[in-house]
Amino acid sequence: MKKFLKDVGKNKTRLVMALPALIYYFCFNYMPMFGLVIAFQNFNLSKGVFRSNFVGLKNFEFLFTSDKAFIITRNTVLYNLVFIVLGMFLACCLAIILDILGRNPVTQVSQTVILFPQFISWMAGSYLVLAFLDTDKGMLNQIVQFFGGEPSNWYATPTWWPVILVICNLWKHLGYDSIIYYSTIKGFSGEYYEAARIEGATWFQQIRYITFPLMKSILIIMGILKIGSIFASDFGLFYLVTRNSGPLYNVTSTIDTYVYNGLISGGNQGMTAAVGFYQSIIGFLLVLGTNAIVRKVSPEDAMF
Amino acid sequence: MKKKIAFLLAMVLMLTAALTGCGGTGVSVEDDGAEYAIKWFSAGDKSKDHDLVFEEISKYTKEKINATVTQTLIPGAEYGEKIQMLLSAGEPIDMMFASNFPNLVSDGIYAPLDDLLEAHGQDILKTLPEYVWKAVSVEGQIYAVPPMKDWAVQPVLLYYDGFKDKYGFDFSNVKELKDLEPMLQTVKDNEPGVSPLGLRGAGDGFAVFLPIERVRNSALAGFHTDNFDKVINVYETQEFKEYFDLMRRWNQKGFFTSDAATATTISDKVNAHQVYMLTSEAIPYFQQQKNKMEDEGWKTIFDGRLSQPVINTRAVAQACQAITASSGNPARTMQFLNMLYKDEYLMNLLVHGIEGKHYTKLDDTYLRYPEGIVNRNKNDYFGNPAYQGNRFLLLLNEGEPADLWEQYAAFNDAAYISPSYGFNFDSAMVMNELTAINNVHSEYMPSLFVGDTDPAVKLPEALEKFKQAGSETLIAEIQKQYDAWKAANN
Repeated sequence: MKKFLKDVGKNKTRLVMALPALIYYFCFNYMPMFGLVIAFQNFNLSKGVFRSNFVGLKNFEFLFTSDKAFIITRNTVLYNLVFIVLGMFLACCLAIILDILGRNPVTQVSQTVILFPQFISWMAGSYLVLAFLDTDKGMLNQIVQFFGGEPSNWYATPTWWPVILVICNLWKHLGYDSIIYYSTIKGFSGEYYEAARIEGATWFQQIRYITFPLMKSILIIMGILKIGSIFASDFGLFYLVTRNSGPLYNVTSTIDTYVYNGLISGGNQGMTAAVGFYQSIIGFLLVLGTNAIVRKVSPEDAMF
Repeated sequence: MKKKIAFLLAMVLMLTAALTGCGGTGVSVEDDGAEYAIKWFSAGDKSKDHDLVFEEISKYTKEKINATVTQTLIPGAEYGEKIQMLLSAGEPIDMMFASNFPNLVSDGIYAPLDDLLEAHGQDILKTLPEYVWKAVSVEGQIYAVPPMKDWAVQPVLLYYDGFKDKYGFDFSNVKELKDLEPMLQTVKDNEPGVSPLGLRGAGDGFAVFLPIERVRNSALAGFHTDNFDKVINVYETQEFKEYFDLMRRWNQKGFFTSDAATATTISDKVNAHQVYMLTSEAIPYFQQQKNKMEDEGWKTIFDGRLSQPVINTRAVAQACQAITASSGNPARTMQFLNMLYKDEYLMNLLVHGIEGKHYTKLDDTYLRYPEGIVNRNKNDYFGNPAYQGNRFLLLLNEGEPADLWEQYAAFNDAAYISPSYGFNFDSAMVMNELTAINNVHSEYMPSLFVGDTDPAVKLPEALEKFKQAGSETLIAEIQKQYDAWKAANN
C-alpha cells in the first residue's frame, strides 16, 4: 500500500494526463463487462441481470453442436490470417514506396486517395462491388462479354469469392494501415541511410537491412493487436458485400454472419452475448500467447 | 487496497442495478385520480409537428382523464432492437407498440390486461370482435390490444394494367400459377427493359398462393391447409416441389430480374416501372393504393383470384399496443387507450393532426389536406392509422369511397379464420436447432425461390441439411406445443 501511494505521488502529472482515458475505459469498456454474465443466463428483460436464471454453458451449445461449426471457424480464422499477413506486408511495401518517392504532389494526392476507402461504409462498398459483379449490368460481365466470354452469375459462384473478399478488404484498409507504417518510417533517423549510401548499399539493401529491422517492433505490435480479433469477422464485408447470398455460404459464412442469420428472428440476448464472450476470450488468449512467443524470441519487442 | 476494490465493485454493482432496472409484478387496476404523464413508445417516423400535436392531445386528455401524453417514435426498422435496449436500461414506459408479439411476453414486460380491460377498457371490449383476443393472449391472459382495422389479409397478384389491352391478355382463365406463363412470356418478348416478375429470394414470392400455412418464426414448419392437425416441413410438400420447378422454368426463360436471389428490395424497380408482376398482400385498400399508382401513370391491378382473405394470428397480432408491467399508472394508461376506440376527435387528432392546420374538414366523412399535399406522408403531421385505436373513426381522404370502412368490415367478415388461429410458437426449447435451420434456410431457399439453382439437385440437398440441422426436433416440438394449445382451446 505504501509503495503504491509512493508510486502515485511520483507519477502525479502522468496519472492526471491518463485520467480521461482511464475514466473512458472504465465506463465504456470495463463496467459493461459485468453484463457478460448474461452469456450464462436465460436472460429475462424484466428480471434483469441479477434475477435471471443461470443455465451454465447452454447458450454456447448452438455454436458448437451445429455441423457448420468447423466451416465458420475455418472461414473466420483463415480470412483474418490472410488479411493480417497480406495486409501488413502490402501496407509496409506501400509505405516504403511512398517514402522512396518522397514528397511531391503525386504522392500527396495518392496518399489521400488510398486513405479514402477506409471511410466508406460496407453498405456503400457493397454497391460498388455490385457495380462490378452484377449479372446483367456489372462491369466484369460486360468486359467478359466484350471479349466473347460467357457472363457468369458471380453471386452464385463460390470459386472466386475468397479472392474477391481479400481484394475488398485490402481496398478498404490498405491505405489507412500504410499511413501508420509511413509515419513510422518518417521517424527513422536519416543518418542510417546516409551512412549506408556512402558504403554503397543499393536501395533494396537499405530496405532489407535498415528499414525492415527498424520496423519490426511496430509490425509486431500491429500484429498482436490484430490477432486479438481473429475470431471476430468484419460483419459488413461478409454479410453486405456478399449480399448474404446462400450459394456462397461455404466460403463466406463466418461466426458473425452465422449468428446473425440464425438469430435474426427472435433475438436471444443470452446466445449473442455467449458468442461475443467466446470471441473475446479466444482473442484475449491469442494476444497473450503471441506476446509470450514474441517475448521468448525477441524480448525487446514484446508488448508486455 | 482490498477495501478499495470492494468499494469499486460495490459501485459497479450499484450502477448496473440502476441501469438494468427492476420490473414490477402484479398490476393494479386502481386509479388514484392524480395527474399522470403517460409515456408512450411507438414505431414510425417522427413528423415535423409531432410535438405540437401531442401538446394538443395532452390538453384534451388532461381535461378528460387528468393525464398528459407524450409519444416517442422509433423508426420501424430499428424499433425491436431499440425498445429492448430502452427496457433493459429501465426507461419508464407506460404504453408501447408490441412489435413481433408474443416477443417479450415471456420476459414479463407486458402487464396482463384482462382486469384492466374489464375496469377501464369497456369501449375496447365493445368495439373489437371476440375472436381477436385469441391472437394476443398467452396462456389465457391478454397481453396486448390490437387496433380496430382490417385484419384479414389476402395475397394478391399485382400487375400493370396497361399491357392487358395492348396484348389482349385474358386473365379470366387463370386458375393456377402456371396459367400466367403466356402473359409473362409475352411481356418478356415484347417489352425490353421490363422484367416479367418482380420477386426476390428473401420473400415468399408466389408461394403465398400455395395451400400452405406456416407457423410464425419457425422458418420451415407449417400446415397443409387440408390437414391442420399435423405440423410438417412445408418444403417437403408436393406443392412446394412443383412450385420450385415452376420457378426454375420461369427463371430459365428469363422472367426474373438478374439480382432476384440477393435483392434486398424490389420497390425501386417497381417505382421505375421495370417489373410487370409481383405479389402483394391486399385489403380493400386496393382502391387507395391504386389511386396512388395511377398518379404515377402506372395503373396497377390487384388481383385476388388465386386466394381468399384469411384471418390468421400474424395479421391480428402484428401491430398492437401493450401496457407495461412497470407502468406507474396502468389504469390511467388503459383509460387513454380506451379513448382511442370511441373518441373521434382524439383519433383524428392523433392520425391526421390539428384541424385547420394539417387538414380541413369537408363534412362528417371527408377531409382535405393543405394545398400541394398529395401524399399524407408529406404533411407536416401524420400519425400511423393502423397501429392503435379504432381506424373506423377516422375521416376519409377525398376520393376514397364513402363506405371504405364498411368495405373493410365486410372484408374482415368475409375472411375465413384459420384453424391454427391463436397459436403462437415458443422457440425457447429449440433455439439450437432453429439457429442452424435458419442458416440452412438462408443458404438454400432464396435461390430456390427465384429458380436460380436447380431444384432437382438443391431441394433434396436442402431437405437433407434441414434434417441434419434438427428440423425433425423442431417440428416435433411445435407439434407438441400445438397439440397442447389445441387441447386447451377447443
